[in-house]
Amino acid sequence: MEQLKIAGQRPQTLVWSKLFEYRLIVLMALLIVLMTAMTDGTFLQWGNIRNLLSQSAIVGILTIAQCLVILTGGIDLSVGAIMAAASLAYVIQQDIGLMLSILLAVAVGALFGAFNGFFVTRIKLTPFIVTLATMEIARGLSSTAVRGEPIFNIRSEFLTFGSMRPLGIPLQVYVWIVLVLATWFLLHRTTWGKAVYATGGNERAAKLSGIDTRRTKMSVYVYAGLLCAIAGILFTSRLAIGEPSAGDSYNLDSIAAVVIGGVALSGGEGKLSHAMIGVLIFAMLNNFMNLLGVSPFYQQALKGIIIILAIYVNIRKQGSRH
Amino acid sequence: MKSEAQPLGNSQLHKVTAFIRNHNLYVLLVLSIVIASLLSEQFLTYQNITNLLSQMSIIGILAIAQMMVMLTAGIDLSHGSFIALGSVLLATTMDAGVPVAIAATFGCLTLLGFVNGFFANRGIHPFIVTLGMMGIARTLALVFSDGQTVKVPAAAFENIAYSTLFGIPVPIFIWFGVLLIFHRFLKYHPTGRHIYAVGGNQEAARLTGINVKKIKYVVYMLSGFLATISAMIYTSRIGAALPDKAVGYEMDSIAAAVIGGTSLFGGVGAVKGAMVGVIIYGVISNILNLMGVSPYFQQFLKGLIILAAVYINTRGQRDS
Repeated sequence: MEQLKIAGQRPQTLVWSKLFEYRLIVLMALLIVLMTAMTDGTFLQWGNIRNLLSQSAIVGILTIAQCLVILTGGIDLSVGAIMAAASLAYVIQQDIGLMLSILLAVAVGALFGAFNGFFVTRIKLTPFIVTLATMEIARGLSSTAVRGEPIFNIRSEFLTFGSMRPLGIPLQVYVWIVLVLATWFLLHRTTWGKAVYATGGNERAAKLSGIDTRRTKMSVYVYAGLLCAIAGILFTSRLAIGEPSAGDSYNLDSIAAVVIGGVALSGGEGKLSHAMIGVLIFAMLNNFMNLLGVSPFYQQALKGIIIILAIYVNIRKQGSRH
Repeated sequence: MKSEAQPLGNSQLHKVTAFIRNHNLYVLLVLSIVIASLLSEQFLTYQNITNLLSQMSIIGILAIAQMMVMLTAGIDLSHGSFIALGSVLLATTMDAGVPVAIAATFGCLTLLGFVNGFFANRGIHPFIVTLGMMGIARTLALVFSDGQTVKVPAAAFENIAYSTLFGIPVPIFIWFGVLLIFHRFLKYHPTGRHIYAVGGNQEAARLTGINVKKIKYVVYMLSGFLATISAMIYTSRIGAALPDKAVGYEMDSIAAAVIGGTSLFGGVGAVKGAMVGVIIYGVISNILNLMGVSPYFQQFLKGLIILAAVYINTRGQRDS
């Protein structure tokens, strides 16, 4: 039916609908052209692009986590707090050596992820409330562990990840890209990925067709916790600070990126690659506003307006399709 | 085995557990007050109780608003920014007279509530709409105040928070007044009943002739309206407008509403619950303060309390 309808449409409308389908790419291209023109080419210089990528890497990794959780129909308000907890765990006991510290950070991330997963899948509470509580718990524990004071004394070997720049690009960008590719593979080339989409799309149907939805969700939350831990290690090794209040705005940034990428908050619908484009669009807008010298006051409002408009457009599209 | 031999005792025990289950909120309230007064002698003093209630009135009024939004299966994340914007508006327009300032603030925040309702009615998830509004209102607060602390020019304005009536601070009267009005509104007013209907089953409500869109406009506008009252008490307490503060008040109002038995899925909740939820929340943080627990550890405990409260509530709802 849909094929017939498209065939019957006038070519003009077809162009529009194609444009609409690729609106994210179109939007990004428009932004690039506009920004390049308005900054006399500064925007497209390698230095600026490199900055852009390295600034988005950490939020990008958290957005992978957020995207997975939202695909299962949940939401994760604790990504920023888990990241901060893991980044503190990374440098809180530097005497145990680098490898053990990394393990400790990863364990903290996974543990908080499992905590989320346990309450969502076993106790059956809403992800919104569970992750809200986890946010408070993780922040409270991290602040208590260091009495609210940031850790500045960090040995140089703990900062090597932050200073490594193969081919002039910070390591975190590579890590981000590798994690995106790995997650993409998991989502689209394994049965686990199918289970994630099925669970988010219709949990009951997924369960009836033999998918262990509890285990799927649990694994998603643990995986999200691991990603937060990796982001936390990169954060501390780059900024040379262990801060309990780090990543305060990352929850909203990651949700915004996912939402702009057209991933449905109801779950089961959307693409990781689009969420990553969402990250880039946000980073570009921030970068652009900084280049133009727009007061940071306005940036929050702009983010808010963009989120609402993006969802509105997505909903209109879904409405017209049915 | 033993209980089989004593059927009477067993049924009494059953009655007691059933009572506790049905009134778990009040049991929790009494329990927290008893524990608090055992832990600290200072807790059950007149001074401490009135001070505590007066402090909680800000969140208490927000929790009523949050509860009503949640009744329609929505959520309002803009409360913290609304408080900041409200206090900035009050302080910056105060030169034109206190009534003008109050009217302007009521108008502005109710209008922003209308905007929330507008987009929520366009099928966008309220979480996203009010998340966006959180950023927008915060920006407006920063823009109107140039990012600076604005002192409240009218000294008389401080009377709201610090004057007393019959020895009881005025904010408590304001809070209980609002509680009473909205208790009656939700229980007896047609619009109040419709709010429950919309949250319980939106499609069914629409088919019985309820104007669902109007109801959603009403709850979001009331949320902005009530946030203004909270902003007045807040500004009066501090004596200045802080555009970058009051962050996270929405989380407190959500937590209080949820502790008070409000369901995130709509249709379940009451003003009484929102009140008790706020008081439990307040008593717990008060006793932690009196015991000298660090604010960091309090944050950790707050998270656990939210989880425990939601768990108890959902258990209760499932059983009944």
